[in-house]
Amino acid sequence: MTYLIADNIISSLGFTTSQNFEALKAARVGIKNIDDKLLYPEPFPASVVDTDELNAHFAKLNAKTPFARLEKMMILSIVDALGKTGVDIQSERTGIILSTTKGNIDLLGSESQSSFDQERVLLWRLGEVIGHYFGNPNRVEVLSNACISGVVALNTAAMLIKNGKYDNVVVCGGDIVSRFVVSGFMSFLSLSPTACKPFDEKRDGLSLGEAAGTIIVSNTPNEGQNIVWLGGASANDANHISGPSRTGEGSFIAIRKALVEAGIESRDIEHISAHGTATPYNDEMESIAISRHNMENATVNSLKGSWGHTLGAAGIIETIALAEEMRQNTLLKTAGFVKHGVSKAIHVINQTQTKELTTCLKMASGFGGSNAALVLGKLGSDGSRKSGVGSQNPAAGSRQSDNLTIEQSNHLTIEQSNHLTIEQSSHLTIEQSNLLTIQPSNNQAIPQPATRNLQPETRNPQPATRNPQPATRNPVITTCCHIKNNKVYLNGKLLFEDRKATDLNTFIKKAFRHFKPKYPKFFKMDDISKLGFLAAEIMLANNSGTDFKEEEIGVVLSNSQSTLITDSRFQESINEDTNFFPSPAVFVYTLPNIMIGEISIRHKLRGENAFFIFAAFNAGFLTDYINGLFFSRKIKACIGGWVDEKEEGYEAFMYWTTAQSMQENTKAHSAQEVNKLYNSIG
Amino acid sequence: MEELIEKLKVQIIEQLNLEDMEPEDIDAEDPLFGNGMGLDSIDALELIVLLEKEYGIKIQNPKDGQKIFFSIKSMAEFITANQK
Repeated sequence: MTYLIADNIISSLGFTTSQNFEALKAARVGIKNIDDKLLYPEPFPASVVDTDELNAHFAKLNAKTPFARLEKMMILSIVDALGKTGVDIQSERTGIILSTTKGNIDLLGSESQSSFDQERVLLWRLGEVIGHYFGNPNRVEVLSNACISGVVALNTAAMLIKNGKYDNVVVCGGDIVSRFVVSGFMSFLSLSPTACKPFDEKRDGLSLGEAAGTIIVSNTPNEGQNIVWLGGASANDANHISGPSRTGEGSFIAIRKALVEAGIESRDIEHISAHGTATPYNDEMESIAISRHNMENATVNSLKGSWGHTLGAAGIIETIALAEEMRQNTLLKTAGFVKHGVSKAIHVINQTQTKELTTCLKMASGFGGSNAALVLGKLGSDGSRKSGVGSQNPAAGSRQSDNLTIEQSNHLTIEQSNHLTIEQSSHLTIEQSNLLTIQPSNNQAIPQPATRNLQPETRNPQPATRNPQPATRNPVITTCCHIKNNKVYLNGKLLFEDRKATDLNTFIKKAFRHFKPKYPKFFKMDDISKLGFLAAEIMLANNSGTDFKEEEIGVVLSNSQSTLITDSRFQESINEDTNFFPSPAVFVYTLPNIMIGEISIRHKLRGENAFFIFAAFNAGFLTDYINGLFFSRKIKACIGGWVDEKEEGYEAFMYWTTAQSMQENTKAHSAQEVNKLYNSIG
Repeated sequence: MEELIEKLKVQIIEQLNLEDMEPEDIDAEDPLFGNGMGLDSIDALELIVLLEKEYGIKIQNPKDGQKIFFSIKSMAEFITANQK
């Protein structure tokens, strides 16, 4: 089980979860008119944290060094959540994951006369700062996947708990209301002139908000906490980089995969916390996805009418509110919603009310065509699940074991196990295993895999949809592409070189014309998206093994700079009030996962999406994450890689991995092999 | 008007990164969106910025965009009528 053992919310509505929840119950709206020329030349509505109050709270921590606004919010949030648990943040068994879209973006450009070093604006550095503050010995993972970041971060934390990497994971999401983000959304004409009105017939855009939220996820229940994570997934629309799918396809797929993992059916969902941004297209799209799953009877709310859209924090704080709704059996109203304004007959609530809740769904969608979902369940007083198809399945008990020891067996079949010890066996079949070393032995215990986090995770069998599958083969790498130093390589072979190009922009356009794919939209992309796009193009054009369904193919990418160079370009256009022309076409590319969106649109890939920010290429986490997706049966193939652009140079390394048997030219999808491949081109 | 149309063609190619297109490829009366030049919703937003930045014209109601941005010619007519 993956337990949600403690949480905190810092927003315009308060500095604790209970302050926020009480405010939401009382239907308080945190969105106010902001008149601050540093944020935007004209007044605009948004939900912001009071700066004096934030500084007063932070002063109590007696921090010895200065911290940026978002860092203060995140630190305070984590401190409060930790205080409710006995979790040792300085333990190697405690991980930290951050979810954010723009991090310390206020440190970029002239809006800040900051004393921080230039690196402080980078997202991996934010992770380092937070990890260092708490003295956490592990590398803090930073996920930046537009507005689904929070939900994907929680799903990632659950994966790390289930596969045994950590006992506890602190998931903290945050974003601030900055000149950068306000100008960008203004240029997209997506901000409502008033507090936003989710699902309402008069809805006319979103409201921005800032917040930090923390959820501590654990493999051990904390007293009195009975909410568990049951399943979660993400999916891409493969439709448009800023407009949601008209059929709700990505959201539909993400929900279905989350339900399968949770071992429940859509009719078990009693209540849905929607993304509900209050833009005309988003809310309509969500109503279609909900309706396609026949969840018209579930109640639906969106909390963005109270908090605004808090970007990287949204998935976290809205999941906290959902968990609190379940604990208190209380449904929160959708502030701003008056009259039903979407085409499907979904049950949006406009009154706070009581309802017994045991199984609920959280939805999220964002730029880059990204969608995510997760399912929460409530345990009964005996610690078991009260309802849901999965919990009623007797096979779940008899077919799973956490500590299985079998002394002798002739035909032993174990589907999945966390701690497997086998003393003797004649015919051993293991359905799923990555890097399971079995030493040839007669009477000797088979050693456990050395790397705990590469063990297969436990899974709730889903009788309704599960097909008997042949023994799963381990993920292997079949193809890889490098683009660096003005050279393009496929599987280590040089395909193209241009010695004259002096920058990425010149080179990548030349390379594109050399390979001649017919795709005029290529030239509209920012340079780093062009780089990632071309690497995928070259790799997939030479890939014969793509007979997978769209939703079975994931894209998991990473880099160190997020989109810093494009961010700086956008920042230049908004620095001065007298020359203030924010470009929507530049702004849309200031999210690293837009590259995933471009690749997904081109190749019709609708599987899992995630973009991680590492200080340097990190094959260990990347392979663990992707293998985790394979083992939870969310994908059958995946693009993995690193696409980075710095002032001093650029680099793309991308590979294709599928679950298949090893052949002559394939390599195991392990950290060691991925590192070797990454370093194979100097 | 002809001069303005030619200037707009160059500006649009530049602003919208229509890399493989030359001014002479564009017919001033061709629809910019849909099956015409194949522009999309982000291009439409970018054209609003172009009008403001290059011609000092702010479109008050984005819904007017459909008519104004129908073709290069309709854009030129709108600019001529509204420029101070």
